[in-house]
Amino acid sequence: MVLRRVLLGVIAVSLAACGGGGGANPVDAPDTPIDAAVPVDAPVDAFIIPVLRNPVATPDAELATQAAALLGQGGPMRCNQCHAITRDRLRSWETESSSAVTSCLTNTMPMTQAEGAAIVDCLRAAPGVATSGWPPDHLGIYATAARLDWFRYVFNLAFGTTEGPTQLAMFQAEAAMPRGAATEYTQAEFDIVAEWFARGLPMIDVVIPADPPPTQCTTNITSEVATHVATMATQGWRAVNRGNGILMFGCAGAATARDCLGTYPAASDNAFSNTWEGALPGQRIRVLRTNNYASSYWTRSSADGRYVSHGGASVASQTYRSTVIDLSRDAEIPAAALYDPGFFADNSGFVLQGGSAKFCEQSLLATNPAMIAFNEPQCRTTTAVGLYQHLGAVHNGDYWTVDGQFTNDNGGHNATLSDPSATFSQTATIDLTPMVHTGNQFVPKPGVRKSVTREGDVIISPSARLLVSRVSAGGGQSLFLMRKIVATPNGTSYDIQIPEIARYCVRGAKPAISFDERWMVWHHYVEANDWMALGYASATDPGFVALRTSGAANLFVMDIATGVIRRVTTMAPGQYALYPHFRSDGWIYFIVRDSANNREYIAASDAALMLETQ
Amino acid sequence: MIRGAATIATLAALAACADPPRDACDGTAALALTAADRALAGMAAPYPADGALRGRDAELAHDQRARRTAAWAAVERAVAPAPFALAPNLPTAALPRWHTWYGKDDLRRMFDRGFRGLSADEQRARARLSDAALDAVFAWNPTAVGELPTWPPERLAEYAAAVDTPEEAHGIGGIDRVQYSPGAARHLLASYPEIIACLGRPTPAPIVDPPTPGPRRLVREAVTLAPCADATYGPYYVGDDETLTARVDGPGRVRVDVGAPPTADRFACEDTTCTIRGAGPVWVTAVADADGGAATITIDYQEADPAWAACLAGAFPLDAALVKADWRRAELGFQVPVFDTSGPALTAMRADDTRAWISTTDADPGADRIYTALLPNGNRYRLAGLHLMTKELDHWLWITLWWSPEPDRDFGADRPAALADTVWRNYKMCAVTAFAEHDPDPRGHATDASLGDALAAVHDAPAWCSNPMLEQGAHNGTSSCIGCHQHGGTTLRAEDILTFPADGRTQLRNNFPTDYSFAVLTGDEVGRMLADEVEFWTPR
Repeated sequence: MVLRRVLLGVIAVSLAACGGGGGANPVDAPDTPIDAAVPVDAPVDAFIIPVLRNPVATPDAELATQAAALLGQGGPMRCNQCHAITRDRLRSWETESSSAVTSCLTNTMPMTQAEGAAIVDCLRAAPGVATSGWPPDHLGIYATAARLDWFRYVFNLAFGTTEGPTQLAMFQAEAAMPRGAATEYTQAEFDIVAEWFARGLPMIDVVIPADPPPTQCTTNITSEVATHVATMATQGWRAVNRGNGILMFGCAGAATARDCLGTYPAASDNAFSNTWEGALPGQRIRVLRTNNYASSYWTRSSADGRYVSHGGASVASQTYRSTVIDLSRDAEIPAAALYDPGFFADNSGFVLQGGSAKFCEQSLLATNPAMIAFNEPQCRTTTAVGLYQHLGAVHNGDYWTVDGQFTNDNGGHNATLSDPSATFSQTATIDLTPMVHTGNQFVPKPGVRKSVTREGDVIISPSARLLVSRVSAGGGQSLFLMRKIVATPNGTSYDIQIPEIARYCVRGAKPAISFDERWMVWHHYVEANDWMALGYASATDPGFVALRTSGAANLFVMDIATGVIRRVTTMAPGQYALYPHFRSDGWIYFIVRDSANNREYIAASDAALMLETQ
Repeated sequence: MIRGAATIATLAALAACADPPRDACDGTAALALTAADRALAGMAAPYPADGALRGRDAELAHDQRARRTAAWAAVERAVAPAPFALAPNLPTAALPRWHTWYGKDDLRRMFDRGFRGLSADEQRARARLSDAALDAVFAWNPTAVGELPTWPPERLAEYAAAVDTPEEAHGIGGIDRVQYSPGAARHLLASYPEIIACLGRPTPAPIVDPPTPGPRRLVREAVTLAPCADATYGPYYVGDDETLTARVDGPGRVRVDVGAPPTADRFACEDTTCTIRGAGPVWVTAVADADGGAATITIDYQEADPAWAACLAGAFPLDAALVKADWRRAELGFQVPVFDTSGPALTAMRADDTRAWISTTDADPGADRIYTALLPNGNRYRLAGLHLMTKELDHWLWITLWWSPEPDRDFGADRPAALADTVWRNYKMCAVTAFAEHDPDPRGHATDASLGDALAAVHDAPAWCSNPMLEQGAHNGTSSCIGCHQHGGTTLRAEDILTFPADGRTQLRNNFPTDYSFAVLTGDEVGRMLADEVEFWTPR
């Protein structure tokens, strides 16, 4: 089936952006670059405005094959390094691209500062807000043109040649695709891909295979899980950190771990949070902080629970777009990064992403820095670790990172009514990168690539011995699939096997494993079928309707050895409990996006600590 | 065991100086002894300091052979085997004395217990830990594992029984970057009030001259100068309103100046006798006349009297010693670099603008040729280099060892016979005791030609001692331990120090805030650890 957009006639005479182009049979479209026109009356050697997109006359079938290969389907790894090249995904990109074209890229031959500035501003996350950045989903496929001449021209036009390169660099750091080690697109390559999108992805069903999901999911937990849990009870990072006397935040004077954080208000003490604990009576949820800014993507914390980090900052800045919060001082430390924090299980370091992975010793935070520029002596950057990274550390051994295909999950800023897609491609892979301890430094070895068919959003456990991924199953199901990592030194690197040891048939997103590796937590957006599980009589119950109108998300905790799942939270309409994760002693930290009150909270639950005593 | 905060870096270590403020990819303790390991190893073996060495300070500064002999003797003391406390399947299990010493994890464990033993009022007042309290925590440390629910006796017994090879025994010692003798560790814990008070405060100035006068000093030195040659002495730290008088008896004159060594064009006085007023560092240069010959230089001055170590409870004690180890992974393709430390190679390095150590090849020595540790997780490491500093001298005895496939040449040629049947026969050594090299013989009285050649190649007014394994980076091949470490307790980075005169070898300070140790404020960041503990446990 070929989708055509009846706009191609416009291209021939107008300066319309190429993404929205369509209309007449593209075979009949003129062969000349549509945006290469020289201004009227200009001298022969006048500056020629770069082209955003050159129309391509290739027939649909050939075009589709070429474009799919450039995306990574049937060709070298490009976009598919991070994204599943599925029909659904490409169609969502097509929607984004069309929106970009019709909203922001109507003038592809800007000639004045105002015209350039209008384009730049239109592509922002929040048009009119100079510090709001440029998320890739505001460009769609045009994100792959971010490094080409046209954008360079537009940014220089908008900001001048002094400031233009700086702004362009920020734009590219956030929006340019593909990322990491994948090869950037040339103009010719982009032309092919953009043309395919502009035509409406003709023959997508031919060049992009369907990914038949499993028709059912059966929870299966092998004995290896129990063996692992038993081993980690004494050898896991919870035990190791305790033996090393790590100072757990909020635990001075506490008789037991459950007595920690006692100086913070309980969720039951406040009107905005008094429903939260209802799902699991007996637990304690503490509200650690109220943030008056919107975080982006996930939140993570240090092993000792003192530091919490995420994308987003309270002070608008084009550079300091992330925050590390020191709960001990109730201080926000702006960080020159974008998002995706990670902390090492041994409380020694942390990482944030933003153009490259930025690692720092955690001791930097103890010096009470006013900000983190990542040029401090305690910090280093590397491109060896891809986006959506997760970190693990083998006790007395090497550090490991994992990255692979992922689906962005930044819900709760608007009504979010379903979990992010768990559909990943048949050819999905992960890169397991060992950071080898050489004796006085950590040196990344080349990542070991493993095939994980249809798996994505992969995380690694604190001990670097387990992987958990999300997989889409049939009939609206999705599941968490657990693998163990068997790494055997071989020559200058490792041989790695990742046999499956469990699958848990439950919907959810952003799982995280506890430091004793007995528990797993995740969040789940309230979906249409959740009314019964949430205790409502029907889907039309007004209470449930309110949840489905404003959206909400709850946390769940599971004993991985038994598969027993308990819901941790009962969030009110418009409240999203997200990104739960553990600190070393078993407390669960999470963030709550409260759209009703336009605030976010950092909270902690002792649910796992309570359950382990039962 | 808490992983070292070695930065998760892709860049090679930019380590500079003997014990730099911060190796680029170094950090805090790495893979130290856990509570279980400490139970097996037992209490750290004290360093049996040579108390008479202090009286030979001048001799060691003027005689390289005596210096090297004393250094090798200190090495023997440091590597002497200390038996395990618990190793049922390896009765001969032992660690070199230095490898039993405390890592940062031990310090944290012991301080945590000691500080929590204080009353709330004492904690708020930052009361010092008493001798009895320190005795108790040091004795308790090997038994701490008994308080961990994850280490029941059966598990500990199984862990101990698994040690049945020497390499596994070495693995119990861990691969800490820095380890502290009992005397050094105790002094750090005892100094916690001063250390914490120093955090965040400005570093004491390099030259400090408080109102109290220091002792009157007299230096007499016989020299033989070639015609028109000169020899410079100092700096001597002269007190405020006090004077320094320098005199030459013989064919020549003296020049003196304060703040920098005098030159032909810049001096405060040039005569057979010169007197100059302080306060500050004063240099004296003896300049021979056209005939040259034997002369005697006499220098009489009132010394400034700064607090030796403002961030500690006084200087480290006699039995204080520290090591800094350079461990190298022995698998995954990692090998041990090899460096040429012969006279010609050192001459070439000194002549090069970068003055950096460059390895010639790599080697893959087995455990019979290099000290090897096999950790409980199966990872294997080799000891490529080892710094050793002992407080047997006021300004410390600085020794450094590095592995070599040709260990009996140049800096290994005078190794004592006592080490011949040990793995330490594969290590070369250099040593320094003073900022200036006072041995007039460039060959250091060496009886071995290769050693004489090597010493001559690095003979210079400022003393030299650089470990090719540890002192990487530009200008670090011509550094010295004492020159770098004088800045311990300051915020100077290695890159800064190496830009100072003579690649940092010249004495620039008359006070040493942490008594030459980088571990307190940088490196291991012991000060930060202590402060975190105090802040965490002190009731508000």
